[in-house]
Amino acid sequence: MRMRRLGRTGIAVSELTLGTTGLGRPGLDPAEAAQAVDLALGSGINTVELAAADRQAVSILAEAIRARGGAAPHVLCRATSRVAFDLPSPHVHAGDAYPGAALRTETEQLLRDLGVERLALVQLHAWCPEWLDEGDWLETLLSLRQEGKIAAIGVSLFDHDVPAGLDAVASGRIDCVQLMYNLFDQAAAEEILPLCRRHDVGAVARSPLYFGGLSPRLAQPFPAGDWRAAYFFDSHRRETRARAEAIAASLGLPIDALPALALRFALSHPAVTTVAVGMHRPDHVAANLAAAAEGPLPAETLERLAGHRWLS
Amino acid sequence: MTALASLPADAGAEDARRRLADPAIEAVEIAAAPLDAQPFRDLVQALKRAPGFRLDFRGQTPDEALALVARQLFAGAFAAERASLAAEIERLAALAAALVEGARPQIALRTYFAPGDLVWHVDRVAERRAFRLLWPLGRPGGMRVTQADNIDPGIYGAYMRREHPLLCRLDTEVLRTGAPLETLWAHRPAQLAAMTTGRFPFIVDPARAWSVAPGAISIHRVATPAAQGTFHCSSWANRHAPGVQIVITVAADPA
Ligand SMILES: NC(=O)c1ccc[n+]([C@@H]2O[C@H](COP(=O)([O-])OP(=O)(O)OC[C@H]3O[C@@H](n4cnc5c(N)ncnc54)[C@H](OP(=O)(O)O)[C@@H]3O)[C@@H](O)[C@H]2O)c1
Repeated sequence: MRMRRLGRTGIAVSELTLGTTGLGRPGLDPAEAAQAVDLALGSGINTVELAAADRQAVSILAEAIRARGGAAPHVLCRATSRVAFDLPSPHVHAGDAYPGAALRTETEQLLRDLGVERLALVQLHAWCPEWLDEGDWLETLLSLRQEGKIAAIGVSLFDHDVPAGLDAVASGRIDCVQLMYNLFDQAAAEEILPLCRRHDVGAVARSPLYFGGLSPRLAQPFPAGDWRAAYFFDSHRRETRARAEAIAASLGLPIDALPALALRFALSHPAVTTVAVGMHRPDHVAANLAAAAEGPLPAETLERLAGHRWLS
Repeated sequence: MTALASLPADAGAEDARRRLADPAIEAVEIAAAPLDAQPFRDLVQALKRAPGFRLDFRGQTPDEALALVARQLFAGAFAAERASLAAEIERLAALAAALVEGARPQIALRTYFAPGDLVWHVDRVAERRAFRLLWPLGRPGGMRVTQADNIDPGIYGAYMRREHPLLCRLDTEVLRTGAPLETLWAHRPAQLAAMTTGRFPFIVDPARAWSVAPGAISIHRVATPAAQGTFHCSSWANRHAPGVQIVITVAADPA
């Protein structure tokens, strides 16, 4: 597993990050999930992305850390907004969504729950550019960083909303930005990833498989209880499926080869620090490790793949 | 049952307030004289020919804001037309303000077409009570409204999670470059087709949509933390002829 530097923090993170959304899913097979986490952490993946509010994922990870012993993984934590909203909203004040006191309480609780001394990163998700100068989130996170409880401060951008992060990256106030980057949404490559390089800000590229849409998975609807059943409503599922097939066909590949291609696509951008891919099955972990080992895609493949964006 | 109430041109705030108090009514339309019969028609025609823009009055009076526009675009011309348009905007702002106690009207003038308006949406503010008045001048199609129960909430939420940020970017791009929507979204034919036809996957019954008469003034609910907003969208017919739109928002927290 290759390591990359998390921007100015200097932390060496594995180029694959264990994404944990699937670990919080209802009906999850806990034994299989534990095996998947153990395999990932035992195979050189030293970084985990985690929503602090996802109690099931937190407890699976805590158990894995305890059972494995030794150096704990770097945890990239997504803080919990105190205001529920469907879309990033400038009408919600940063002080209401992410009050400093709540950020501190949640961070300290997560440290205890996971049994780690320091989180690598705390991120404010569904980031609104207006928040840069609002509320007390920054001074709180700066204090937590000073106290050694977190190593870095970051923001996580809503799906397809990369322009929202430009000011934050250029401001010098954040160490890391998380964004969606995949074959369907390639927008990050245009402006924000180069900007991250210029300001030495780490970049976590998430959802490289478009929630499983860049795989054979969409042949069938998702089961009830999986949030993707609603997200991939019928016409969305069919369009995504057709577009995924078109990518595979354009390179003469079977659709089963798509996850590896999609993962390598996300890893190919030099400004991407790490790719957070959701994994809750050992076979997915193994396949993704193998794909990452193959390294970046050749330039001419990347050129051909540029034409397949449709969510940017 | 209609979701749109029609009022005569001389309707006042009390008439609008009464109709909007009925939860079945999503918007009222108030008849307005056609643009050709308006004393400020030449100013509007000139604005329609100029590059598209949006101006928030931000505390300026309509007179001051229109003077600024005229200075920048028309070397200060159209003084008489400006005065009559400003007076009409003042009248409508007062009408709108009377709908929400304590509200100061926020006025904007818009001459570009934001493609995001083609997708059913609600306007939103942080205050607890709010309405928006729209006065389109020289737009061929009237705004369309529908009832909240004509929108499938699950599909709408998923659609907007995917599309909302893309629509915001599209609006910015159109305003910045003036590039045609069809070119900018050529790689998204299904989404473009939905915008052209108004047939979105989250609409339960496409027949349950009402169009404001072209040129009429309309007032609809704005979503607040305390109230639902009116689902509305623009018509594809406005795509190449956005005209001039006066947008007046009134919002306040009850004392
Ligand atoms: N989703 C969000 O809104 C969000 C927001 C902020 C941060 N994050 C973070 O970003 C991470 C990554 O995003 P994500 O999990 O939503 O999407 P993703 O990484 O694009 O997709 C993950 C899904 O892809 C499938 N998959 C993984 N490896 C595979 C393989 N080798 N072959 C075939 N299918 C494979 C699995 O689907 P099945 O489950 O169907 O097997 C898995 O659940 C999250 O886990 C989370 O840590 C997510």
